[in-house]
Amino acid sequence: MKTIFSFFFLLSLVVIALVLQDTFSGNIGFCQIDLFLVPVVFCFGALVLSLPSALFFGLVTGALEGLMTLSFHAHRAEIGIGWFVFFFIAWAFLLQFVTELTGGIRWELHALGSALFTASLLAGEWILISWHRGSFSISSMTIVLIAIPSAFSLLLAPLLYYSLQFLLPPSGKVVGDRIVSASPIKNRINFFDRAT
Amino acid sequence: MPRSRLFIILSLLLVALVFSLLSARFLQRAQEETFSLFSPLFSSSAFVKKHLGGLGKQLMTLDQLDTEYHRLLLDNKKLQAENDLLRGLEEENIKLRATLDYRDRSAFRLLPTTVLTRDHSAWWNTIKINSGSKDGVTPDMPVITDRGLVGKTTVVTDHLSMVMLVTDEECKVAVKVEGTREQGIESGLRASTGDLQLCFLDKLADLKPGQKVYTAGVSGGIFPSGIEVGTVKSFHVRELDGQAILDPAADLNTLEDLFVIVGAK
Repeated sequence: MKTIFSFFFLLSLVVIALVLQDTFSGNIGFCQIDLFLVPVVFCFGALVLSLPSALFFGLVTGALEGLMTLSFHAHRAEIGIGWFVFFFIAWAFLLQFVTELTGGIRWELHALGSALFTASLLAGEWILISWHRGSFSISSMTIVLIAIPSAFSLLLAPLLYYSLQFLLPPSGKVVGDRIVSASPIKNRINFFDRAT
Repeated sequence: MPRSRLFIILSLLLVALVFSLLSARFLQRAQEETFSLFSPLFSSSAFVKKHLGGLGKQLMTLDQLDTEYHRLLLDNKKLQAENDLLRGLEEENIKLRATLDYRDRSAFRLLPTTVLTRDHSAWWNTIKINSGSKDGVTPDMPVITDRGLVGKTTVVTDHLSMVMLVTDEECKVAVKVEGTREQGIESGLRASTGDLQLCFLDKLADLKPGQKVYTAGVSGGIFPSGIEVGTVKSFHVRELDGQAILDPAADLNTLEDLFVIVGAK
């Protein structure tokens, strides 16, 4: 029950992040520089949840982010929602894979993951838009618009990581078919292992 | 990997594939529904932001309040005097109009609205306003401020609409330059610096910084003629045409109160 609660808690955080990033975008002292909070929340969820639940989390978050971001010109969407969904699922998979390599969840991994996720999301959008509009023109402003939100994600990630420590299950607790590590950084919330 | 996990991953990828095959019309409808669902959250957060922003400004010392009170008292007297004068002029104007059987000039019906949020996307310049189809807003309606053109409505829900700003690369407006015969197409830049670009000008166009640019009001277009778009900052010649960089007339970074042109009077 607690794992299901955690999953929906993370999902509600994504919704709050979506609203907050729209409300406070372009109001942080820079010229039209936007805040990206969803990547920070998503990367935390993708690291903390088990693989299947992280992928499902990626699907829902990607669909929501896509629906909020899509821009229509002459009743045509420049980037389809499928791209966002694929992108989020791929990153959920990648973060899980890296966690295995590093031997557990680390705050540094979350911070770096959030920054790289933001940068690749913006760069991917830019490439798709440029391809759709038929011209690739890169300027210093393009780099700034990718770099600054990524840097913000890097700085915000540790704050979120330590604020959401309570979501981790107690050390040594049996979750599904495995025992979670005694180290809090290795703990995982397993939603699908219990559900299936 | 257990079979159940593999099944879940494959199912999710299949769902993602289905998402990518959705039609634009379905997606637009889904976006409208999402905005409707999120509308109360956007309104609440915009309300909180507005009040948080005004918190520091409202705190004044007694001396500041006293100065402000006397300034307002003086303004009030001045405005009363102006009002009396204008009332007299209005009566005179009505009498003269009646004498000449003068018809009202065609003017626009303006719907006042406020900005809810500015969208966080880096490559699209859009905002959300707190007026929707219930207020008479439809897609492709011009949005202005008292200073000039802001953009046009795109996605419209019952109580919320998305506005594409003139700084968006895909918001193209036919414009004319003050004091010349030059006409061109204004649009934003992909990596927006807040400036606008005016393309397809004559290579020999004699444009000077400070010249104002207005909407041309082409037939079949959505922007009526004569709305100020911006002022010329610089002009340079490209291979095939002339290009001017414009400073937007409306301050698009601090938008609050807007008007949607919902039709003619």
